[in-house]
Amino acid sequence: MFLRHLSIKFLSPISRRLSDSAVVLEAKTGTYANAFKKFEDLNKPTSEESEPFVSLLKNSKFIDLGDPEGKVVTGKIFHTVDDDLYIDFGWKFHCVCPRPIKNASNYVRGTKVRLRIKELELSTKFLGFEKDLTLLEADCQLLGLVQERSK
Amino acid sequence: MLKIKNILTLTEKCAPTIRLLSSAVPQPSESTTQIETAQIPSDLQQEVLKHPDYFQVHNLFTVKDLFDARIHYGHKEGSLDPKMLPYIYGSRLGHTIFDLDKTAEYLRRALNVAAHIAYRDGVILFLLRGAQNSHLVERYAKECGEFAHTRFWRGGIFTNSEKQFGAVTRLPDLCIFVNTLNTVLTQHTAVRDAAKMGIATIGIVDSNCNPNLLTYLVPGNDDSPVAVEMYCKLFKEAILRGKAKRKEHLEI
Amino acid sequence: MIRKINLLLEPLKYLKIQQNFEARLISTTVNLFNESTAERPATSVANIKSKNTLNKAMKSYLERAQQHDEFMKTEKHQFEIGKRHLANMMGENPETFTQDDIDNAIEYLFPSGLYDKRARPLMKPPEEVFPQRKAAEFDETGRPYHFLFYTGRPNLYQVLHDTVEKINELNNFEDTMIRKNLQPDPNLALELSGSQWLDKNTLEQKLVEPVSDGEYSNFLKAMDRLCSLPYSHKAKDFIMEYRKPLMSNSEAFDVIKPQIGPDGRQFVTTYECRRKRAIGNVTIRFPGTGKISINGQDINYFKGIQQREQLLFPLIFTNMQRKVDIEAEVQDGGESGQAGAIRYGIAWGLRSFIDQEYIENMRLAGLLTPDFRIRERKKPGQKGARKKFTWKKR
Repeated sequence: MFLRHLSIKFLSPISRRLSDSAVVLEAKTGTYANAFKKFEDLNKPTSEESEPFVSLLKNSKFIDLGDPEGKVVTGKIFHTVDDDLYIDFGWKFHCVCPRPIKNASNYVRGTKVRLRIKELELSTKFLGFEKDLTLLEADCQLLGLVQERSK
Repeated sequence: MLKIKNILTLTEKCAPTIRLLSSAVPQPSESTTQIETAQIPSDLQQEVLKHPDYFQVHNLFTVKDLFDARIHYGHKEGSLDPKMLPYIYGSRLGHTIFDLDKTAEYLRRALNVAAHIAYRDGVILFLLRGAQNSHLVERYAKECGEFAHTRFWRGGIFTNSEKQFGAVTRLPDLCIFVNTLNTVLTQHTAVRDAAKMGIATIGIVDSNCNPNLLTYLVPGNDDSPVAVEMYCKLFKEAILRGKAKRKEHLEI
Repeated sequence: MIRKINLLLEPLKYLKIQQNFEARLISTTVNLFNESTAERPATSVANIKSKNTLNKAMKSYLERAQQHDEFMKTEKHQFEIGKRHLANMMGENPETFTQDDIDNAIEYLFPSGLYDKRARPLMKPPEEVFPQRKAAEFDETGRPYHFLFYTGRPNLYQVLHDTVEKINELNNFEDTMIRKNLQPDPNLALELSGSQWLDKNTLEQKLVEPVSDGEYSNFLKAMDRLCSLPYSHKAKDFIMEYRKPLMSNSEAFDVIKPQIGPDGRQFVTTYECRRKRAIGNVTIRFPGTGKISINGQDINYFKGIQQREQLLFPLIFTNMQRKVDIEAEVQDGGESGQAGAIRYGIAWGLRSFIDQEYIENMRLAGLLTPDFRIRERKKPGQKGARKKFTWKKR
């Protein structure tokens, strides 16, 4: 329930405290006030050099993707164990795919591959647990190589 | 004399061989004359404490850096702990997203604490469970001259240390939990033990963690290697800054 | 009445005040004294200071180390005295009495039939008898030296940490080689067949730490993973540190050189071949025609088929039936014991006349392994060596 309420936040207009960040330190103030102001300044996100989170998120690929299920993304193999490929595609979790039979030797560490996302997090509710149990893995289908590896 | 002694201890520390009790007993007379435990003048210490951000930890990172390190990704809604709600921005199609503005604030506070403790020559212990990132954390802990425990947690390391180590042992002054969950998705026992022993804790808490027992929490993703490396890098830098300042002040 | 009491109390009150005053006086002098110490030369102040800041952990360690040292000192002293007594008892010069002499003397003075060697009486220098312990793992402020100290097994986990470090290094190296389109050289591949991983006890001794079964299997897994990498030969030094050569393999290598007999033929004699109670000497002559003589008789010395098969097995196994002559002298024991003793002698001697591959095959077939088992004696009060009499409670 609360989550539905929360998700509305995405639609709400971006509120930035721009005016707050423009605090000019007075020369003649007490040490405590000085320190207090300094501290206040530090607590604020350093918006001078970086965008606020809201706009970062709004312009991110993750939001562009929309509903991730069934979308095709590129990933990079970062680890192989026998015939299991561990692929990182920029999400919180990696995914593990079996090595395809065709062109098997081309799937080495560092290869870029195409994936179709089935599920971003493998987690389900089990009896006797309040929370979902998660495998800390995403579920994807390996489609093939992005391009021939640069030799 | 002091320098020679320092070099000696350094070589001792670097020696890869296993030191045995009978072979290398430090002489009591030597150790008492050693002045390594020199104190920083208290007025300087006070000054450092009064400053809101003495070690300039706020410029270690920007929200963009955190964003690029995927720190905003949380778990699915189903595994959300209600206690994490204040730190969560919202949910994107079932996946919780952290508010990085808040995370940045908490992270800066935690970095400041870490730097201060390093400055006061505190012992800092990095903790983590899970094989994927354990080597990473150990490496960073080693690089900043601090300690790591990323293995199976045998009960009583804090609460029964005298038995566990066979002697009176100095416990860490600060524990940094890079993730607070066990591999079986229960809370790391050390979180509880540290709370029992009054050891300050910094913990990265993901959306399925309970932040209640932590002193300084940092809401954020604790699973991706990229995120873990980011945290380690930041804490290492903060600790090194604290240590550098300490060295500087000791020489005065 | 009351007045009287007051009068009595009056001097007491005065005394009390006086005492207070005195106490105050003392306290001021103490303060003065303290101030004067503060103005003393800086060295002593530093000394006091560092003494105060010496960590509790370090203090208790120093006490422990001192105790250990004293204990070892007395033990060593007692050992020296015992050694001299023993030398006198054996009628030898105590100055030149070595550890070997001690061992022999103990074996002579306290003969023991106990099977396990560790259970027999011994007299060794205290350094060997008492287990070695770790030195302090922290400095004066109590800060540990090792970055994995709080795991409780820093040395073990350091090894695992190093292993992962090596694995990562080799993976990176492999990636660069793949980018250059190079394959690992099969000639350089790591040769592990002649050695095995350190067993748990040896590892524990090496690391001076207890290692649990689970941790040991983790160690093996990590090491196997490292060895399975295509470029594992680059980490050979690291891997070999935790392997030891196979015993039987190294023994099999030192083959006896054949001597030349008076008739111009090569021969090898194997002495003291044993099996059960039988003991014999076997001579193999090469080249030969397959003649066999046992205590002056031919193969009919053995009545049973099985004994003859035993005898011939190493020859058939190596295809040498018609190429060598065998002469054996064997005594004691029964038929099968004598046959087994000769079999071992033939197999052992044959190594001088066949190539390495056959030797390895013979080792794998168990022909080069002496069989030390002998009959266990019957015990009084029971039926056999182990078997008990039948016994019913009622």
